[in-house]
Amino acid sequence: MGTARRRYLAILLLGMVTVVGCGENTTGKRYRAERDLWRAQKMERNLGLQLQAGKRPDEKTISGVQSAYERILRADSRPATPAGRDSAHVRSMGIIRAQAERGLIRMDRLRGDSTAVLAHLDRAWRSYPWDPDITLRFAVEQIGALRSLGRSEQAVEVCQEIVSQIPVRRPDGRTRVPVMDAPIWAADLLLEAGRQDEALAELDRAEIYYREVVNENPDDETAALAWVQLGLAATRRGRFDRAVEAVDHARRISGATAIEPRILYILGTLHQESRKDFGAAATVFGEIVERFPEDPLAPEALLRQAASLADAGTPELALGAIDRMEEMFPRDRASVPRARLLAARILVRQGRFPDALSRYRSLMVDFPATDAALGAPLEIAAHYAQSGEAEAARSTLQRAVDDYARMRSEKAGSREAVVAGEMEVVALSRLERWSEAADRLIALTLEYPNQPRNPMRMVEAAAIARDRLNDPAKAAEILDQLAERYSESPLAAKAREEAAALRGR
Amino acid sequence: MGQLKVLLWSWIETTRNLGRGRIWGPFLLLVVIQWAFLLLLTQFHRTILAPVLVPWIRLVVGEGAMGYPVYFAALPTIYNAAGILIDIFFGAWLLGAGFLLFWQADRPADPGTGGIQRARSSYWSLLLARLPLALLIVGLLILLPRLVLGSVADVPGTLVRAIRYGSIVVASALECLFLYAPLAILVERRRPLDAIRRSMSLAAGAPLATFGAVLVPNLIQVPISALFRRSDTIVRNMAPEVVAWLLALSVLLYAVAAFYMAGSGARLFRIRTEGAAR
Repeated sequence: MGTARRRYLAILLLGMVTVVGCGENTTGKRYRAERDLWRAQKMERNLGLQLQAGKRPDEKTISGVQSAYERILRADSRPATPAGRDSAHVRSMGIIRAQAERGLIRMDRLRGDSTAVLAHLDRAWRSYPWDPDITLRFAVEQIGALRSLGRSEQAVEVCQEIVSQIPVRRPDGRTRVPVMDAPIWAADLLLEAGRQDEALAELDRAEIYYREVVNENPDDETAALAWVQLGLAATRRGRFDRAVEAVDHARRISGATAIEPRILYILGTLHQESRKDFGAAATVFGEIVERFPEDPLAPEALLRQAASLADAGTPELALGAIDRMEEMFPRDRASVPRARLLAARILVRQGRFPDALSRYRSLMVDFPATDAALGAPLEIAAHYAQSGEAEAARSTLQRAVDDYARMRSEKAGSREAVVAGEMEVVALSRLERWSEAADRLIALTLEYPNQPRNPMRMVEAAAIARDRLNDPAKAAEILDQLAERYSESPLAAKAREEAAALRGR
Repeated sequence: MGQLKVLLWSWIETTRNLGRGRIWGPFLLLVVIQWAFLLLLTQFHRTILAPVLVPWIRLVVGEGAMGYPVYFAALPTIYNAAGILIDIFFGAWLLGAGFLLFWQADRPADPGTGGIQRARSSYWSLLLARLPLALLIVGLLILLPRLVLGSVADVPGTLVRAIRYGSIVVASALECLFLYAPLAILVERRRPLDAIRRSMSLAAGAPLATFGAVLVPNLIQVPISALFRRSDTIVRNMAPEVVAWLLALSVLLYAVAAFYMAGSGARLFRIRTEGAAR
């Protein structure tokens, strides 16, 4: 082959590759986006490890993760609409973008920047109109964020948009549970805001919606869940018998066999908490344990059965149910500690304190880092105080304070450390060590700056300073800090007013 | 016993050539070509490469393996499929050149005509002589598991391992038959079909030595394939790109194996054709 012919062939080949290569490379784009997402998530995992080790990540690390997520959003910045584009590609890119947006929101949360969280969520939940599940996930997060900032009205609007825009039944027949929950959430938000009439109107709309869902297909799982929601709506109105009727109807729907334990659990809870019919509650919870012992709800049902039996005035049966629970689910770390706590409380009520004490101790030895075990010393001390054994109560509380402080330092950064810190505040308050109690509350807000309960902790600390330490200046200072650090909190404005009033005294 | 002595002698002679840069030339060129192809495979998502590589990769591993990081778990499979093409189009020529350089290494008095150039002038003959072996090995790798397993749903692990190691032995046995073909073309100036016939007759004359010369270097495949069977674990626990780096390392190890195969093959060829070891 001559040199000239070779050259022409090479140019032709290069031209062909260039022409073909200029087409849209959807696989490559998706691959690069997935790669960037994987790297960003890896950076975030490393950041999570720092947090687990009790080390607060610096701003540079958080910004690094944030930039990694932002790069993904920038790389495919065209309007996210399926029009004119391969819809499968748009969907898969949408899922990647949504994950990147969620990463950004997590970083904003880590910073405690609730304004940025809201701004991101507000944009994100309207950005994927062709994917109801992504939209729903963001919308639910948006409701939670708005609720924590006391913006009930906006949260209600999001609930209403969910119901009007997102079909409750997936194409494969499964239920989008948050869509089903949204009307009740809206009513609850209005009730929380004290807007009773609007809440009742919202419940009316919810009932109409649920009946429409039932009418679309009366025999499927979604219809059963709609009946359950009708029951919950009736509960909000105080019509407990009607609620029980609706939930009982739900369990009889032929397509609801897979969710029958869940429906029964709700029915039992209605009897136990709303109607206070403990006998009926114990029967329903017992049915779950007998018929569905393998169901994840079974340990919880058995625990509720024991509590119902105790409330029904049959403590021996309740203790029997607890023993059965230990036999059936010895490894259930969520329910067994609470069962032991319940057994100890029943025994205290029966006047069998030595037996109760051995239950409390076994709880603290076998499950030391659980909420139940952490609360046990406070209950023991309370019993001593009621029995007039002041010194025993005092020494129990003092030991508890030491134990809580040790757990806080050993498990720094964990949920257990936060609970231990809260319990320590209670113990210090009962010991009337008010200054230390207030300091511990403030320290909790500084050690865990993104916890939603922080504004309330600062209010409690201010109350201790004002009422117990007779130090209005310190109380005002704490309230000012609250208003500054949690300016988005519904408590901020009230804190400012209160601080001004304290200074004006 | 005599064949084993000759085989051992051929390895000793080959080891003595390890320090001779000139002989390494074709093997290193093959390494560079394989690395370049590996690099292309890791960059398949680039706009200029995707139209050519994506359909082919999709054919080999399916759409599910086109995402990140799963692509890197599938990279050894993709690379092995590409390796067959590299073997046919570049391996036949460069391994031929390697054989020739070993042949020339034992003849310092002969005029050095350049192994790579001389092999290039016989490129098509070398390719045609290599093609049947490549097709047989591909057939073996696809057919053997199907023949043994049939439609068995739950395959025991021992059977899978037996097939995997059995494939290495059977592929080595096939490769023995073609071992001397490059030298029959380059030294004896035979045509491809005649060269294959000549190679088979030489291999039949010293079956044990020829089989050993092929099988022992091929045993490097055992740890390498064991490592890449866990590529998903590497992706999960380390970094996906580590798989590509390990593949690049395995290319180097295969080059050493090919160096020994060509070195001992050239010596065995000389013994078989000229009758005595110098």
